[in-house]
Amino acid sequence: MNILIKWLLLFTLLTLTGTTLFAYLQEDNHQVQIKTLNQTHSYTYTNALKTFTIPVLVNTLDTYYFNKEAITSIKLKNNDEVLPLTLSKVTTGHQQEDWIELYLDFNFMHTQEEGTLNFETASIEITYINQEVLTLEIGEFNVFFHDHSNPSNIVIQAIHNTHQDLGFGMTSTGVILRIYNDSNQPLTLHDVSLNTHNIKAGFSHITPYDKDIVPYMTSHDIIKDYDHLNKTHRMHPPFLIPAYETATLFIPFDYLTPTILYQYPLFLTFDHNQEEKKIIIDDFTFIKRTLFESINQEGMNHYEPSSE
Amino acid sequence: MKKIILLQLLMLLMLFQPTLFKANEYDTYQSIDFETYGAKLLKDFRPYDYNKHYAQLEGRRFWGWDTVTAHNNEKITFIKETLIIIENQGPTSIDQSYYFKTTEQAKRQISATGSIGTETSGKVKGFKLGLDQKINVKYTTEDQSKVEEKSDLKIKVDPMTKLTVEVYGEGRITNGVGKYYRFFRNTRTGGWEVFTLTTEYFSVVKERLDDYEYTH
Repeated sequence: MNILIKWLLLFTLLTLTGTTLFAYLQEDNHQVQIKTLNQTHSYTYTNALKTFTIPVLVNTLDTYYFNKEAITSIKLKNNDEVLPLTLSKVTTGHQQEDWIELYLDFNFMHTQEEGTLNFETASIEITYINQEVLTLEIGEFNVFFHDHSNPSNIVIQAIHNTHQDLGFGMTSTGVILRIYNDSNQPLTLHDVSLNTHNIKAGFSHITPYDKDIVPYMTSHDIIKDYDHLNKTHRMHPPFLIPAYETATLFIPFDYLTPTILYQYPLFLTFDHNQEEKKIIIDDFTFIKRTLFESINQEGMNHYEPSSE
Repeated sequence: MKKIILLQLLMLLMLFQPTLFKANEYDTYQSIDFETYGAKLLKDFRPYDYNKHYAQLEGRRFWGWDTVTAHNNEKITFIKETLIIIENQGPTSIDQSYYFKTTEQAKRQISATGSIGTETSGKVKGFKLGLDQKINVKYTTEDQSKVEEKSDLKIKVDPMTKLTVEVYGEGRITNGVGKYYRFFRNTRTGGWEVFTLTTEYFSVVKERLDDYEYTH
């Protein structure tokens, strides 16, 4: 009888140990991990665009971190500056090994008619119903609120983005613009901006382009050996477009720091008949790329929120 | 003798049987180019390719798939069809703010030849008889539903101009051949291919419709 009790006790002990160990391993397996990419975000806000997308990698879908029901508030932050957001949609993308790509669509809760927000080091702070706070770094974030009407006599006929790997991942390296001056006065292009801090339009290296626009062009096909990372700017006369003529030009981008750019607006400033005229080309997604191809995962921000 | 002739005829028939290609959307792209020289799409496989890869199979088995990968996760570049075309043949510019909706194609698409079949389970299209589990594809995605995406674009379409948005991009191709056995009997034979869309690039071009005016 004693032997039977001993065996029963041993069996119970072993079962308990096994169950605890299994539960521990299961818990360890479900340690939520999240990765984000530092990108350069630049948007213009119009009535048509109210959403921007942040891609993240997660190691499990079995988590509340991207469940709208579990979230009480979301903020876009830059030091003390805060912009409230809502999470509108979560879409699943590719899956590779243990990582799943999620696209998080955010909406601005409050907007303004005009103005600019420039967040040099932006993060998204998500607060959950259990008071937990998750902060995800996303890179540089800029938004330009406007209600601007472009002048009718400056016509943008083509926009073509060039891209290449600058050593830290595929990114936009310049833009080809075809501009038609639909007026009887010459048009002078004075300035080009992407409304970004880390990437500047290399206006001083603007180059006329008279060949066909074809896919897979790089900046080096147009300006040989152009160094996007280490640019010494030189003065260049403003670009002139005669009356009723079309000009195609290439504007390379200069990177002050390694970053990824897929989507951007263009702000063009012209001098026309002794008057300054602005053209705003709303942000356009020139590149859509899975995070698995974007950058080596070691280059991403890594979070293990539940262990914090 | 009759049996030998019949057998030879049967073998000839098997050799030259048309490999029915169950194509997918990527097969309609204007061009697909491999980064690696010599790599090819399943639709370009010749009988020689099939025979070469069939010879690499391990052989008859009791039950299940025997597969060989011909090209593994090969990087490709492609040029797709024009995404949108807006023609303004009217006398005034279309200058209001507008945005277009693009329909995201499935990020992962599959094709098959011979008697290897594909099936759709819910939103996900896969190979029949669990071939998906057998072949080792680097990327997978469960979300193949067509997602409506909004792209904001404010470019004026002037009178007698045509606006087009062109798409090109990069992807990965994995393909090979396989045979399925039941009780040592080969019941399915053919080629399989998985295309994974990794990058899309968009370009906006406006053209004059002057030629269009004269020719129409």
